[in-house]
Formats: sequence, C-alpha cells, structure tokens
Amino acid sequence: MSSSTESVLTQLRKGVLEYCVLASLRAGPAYGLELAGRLAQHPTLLASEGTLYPLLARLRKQGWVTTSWQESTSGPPRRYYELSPDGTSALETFLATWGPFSHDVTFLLEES
Amino acid sequence: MSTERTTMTHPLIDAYLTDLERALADADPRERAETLTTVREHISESVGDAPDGARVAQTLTDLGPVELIAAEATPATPPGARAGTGTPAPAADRDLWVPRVALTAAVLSVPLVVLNFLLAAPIALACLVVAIVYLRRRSPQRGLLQATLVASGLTLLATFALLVTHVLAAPNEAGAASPHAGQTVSAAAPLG
Repeated sequence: MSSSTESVLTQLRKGVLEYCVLASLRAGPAYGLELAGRLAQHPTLLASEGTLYPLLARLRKQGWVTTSWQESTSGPPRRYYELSPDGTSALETFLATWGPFSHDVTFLLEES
Repeated sequence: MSTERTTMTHPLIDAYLTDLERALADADPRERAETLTTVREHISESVGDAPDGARVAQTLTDLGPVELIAAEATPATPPGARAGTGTPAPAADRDLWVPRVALTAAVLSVPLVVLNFLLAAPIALACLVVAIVYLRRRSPQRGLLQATLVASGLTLLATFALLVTHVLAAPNEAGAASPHAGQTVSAAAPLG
C-alpha cells in the first residue's frame, strides 16, 4: 500500500474505527486476539493488529465497552470485551449519522 | 478466578514489549498500562506456552511497529499544554503580536532604504530572521510572516543594489572630484 494511500486511510480511520470496533462487538463479547482477527479480515480498517489495543483501552475508559474474565478451554482465562449500554447508544447514533454522511460523500465523489 | 497468564520467555517478545513501553512513554498512563497488558495477552494467546521463533515473528509482524501502536494512544497531555501551566498563554500572545510588529517594521524598511539604507538593512535583516524563526515554529500567522519575508527581502535587495551602485560610482566620483588624482598617486609612488 503506497504511503499516500496509507495517509488517507489514517485520516479516514479517525472517528470511524472506534465505531467499527463497537459494531464488531454487536455479535457478542470477544477477546483481543479474536477481535483483532475479525477486524483484520477488512484490510483497510486496522493499520496493524496492535493498534486495536490503545483503541480498546480508550473505549473502556469512555465506558463504551466493559471487560470481564472468562475461562478458556485451551489455556488461561481470557479478557473479553463487551458492548456496554452507552456503547450501544453511541453506535446507534453513529449509524444514524453515517448513512446520510456516506451517501453525501459517495454522491459528491461520483458526481465529481 | 486467577487471571495470571503463563510467563512467555522469548527474546523477541521481551524486546518488542520493552520497545512498546518506551514508545508509549508519552501516552495517557491508564491507556499505556492497559495497552501493554493487553498486547502481552494477545502475544501470549497467539504464541502459546512454548513459543517458537517463526510463530513469535509472525505474531509480532501482525501486531505491527510499536510506533504505530503508540500513535493510536491518547497523549498524556494535550499538545500545546506541555510547556507547563502559565506559559502557553504568553506564548500564544507572542505568536500574535510578533509577526505583526515584524511585518510593520519590514514594510517601513522599504521606503527607509531611500532615506538611509544603513538603517533600513539591519531592520529588514532582523525582520527576516524573526519571520524565518516563527515560520519554523509553525506559527498560525503564516500569511503575515510570508509578507514579512517578502518586504524584508525587498529592502535587503534594494540595499544591496544601492551598495553596488555606490561602489561602482565611487571611482568615477573620485575621478571627477580630483582629475589629477592618478598623477598624484604616481608622483607619490617613488616616496613609498
């Protein structure tokens, strides 16, 4: 990926990626590696898997996700991330805004 | 429930986590601590209890450069508030008035060249230096500073042109003032 493409993506991820993380938790709680795997399926979202962790720390600080420990069948307990009621509400607000916003952007880009 | 994970022992992992801790030095303390812990958990989960070199290398590659991770973290203090309490406001005031004063002086130095270029040149030079310093500091008054550069540059160019003119004109003026100057020198030469 060229450096200019990466710099555009860096700007686009700001303000969007945290909602993608919240959206990926709608299906249910997930531990870090699992969540990184889910997001890594969409190569434009994460610059690297490690960048997910400061974001998760921030989301937890904001109260949009909560964490809990759950036993694992294959090793030590895992830290699971779960969408909180505030996080669900923030995601709904984002979804309501994102639709018209992305529509406007797409329209303008295609018109140009 | 115990949340302790098996301690991973691999030099690449230790080096990576040390680098990450260093890269996160300026991050919000809570985010830094949590990021370090969760990245360690990610590695532990990915490589298992008996990490082999290839698996470790792949995991660290997927995690990405530590600088990239640190760039995602919130800074401990907002940019601009790092100079300490009290100092940002005066610095902001200075950023406002210095470019204006410099521009005024630089503009005034342009007509002053005609009156006294020996006075105008140092003023223009000072304005030029101030403009360059503030532009390098990424002052918000970029337009004023660029105008200062232009005005002071004009003054310095005009000063240079006047100096060149004076130097070129000097022998002619000397010759005109003393038509026998050459003879005087040649007459005086044998005495030296």
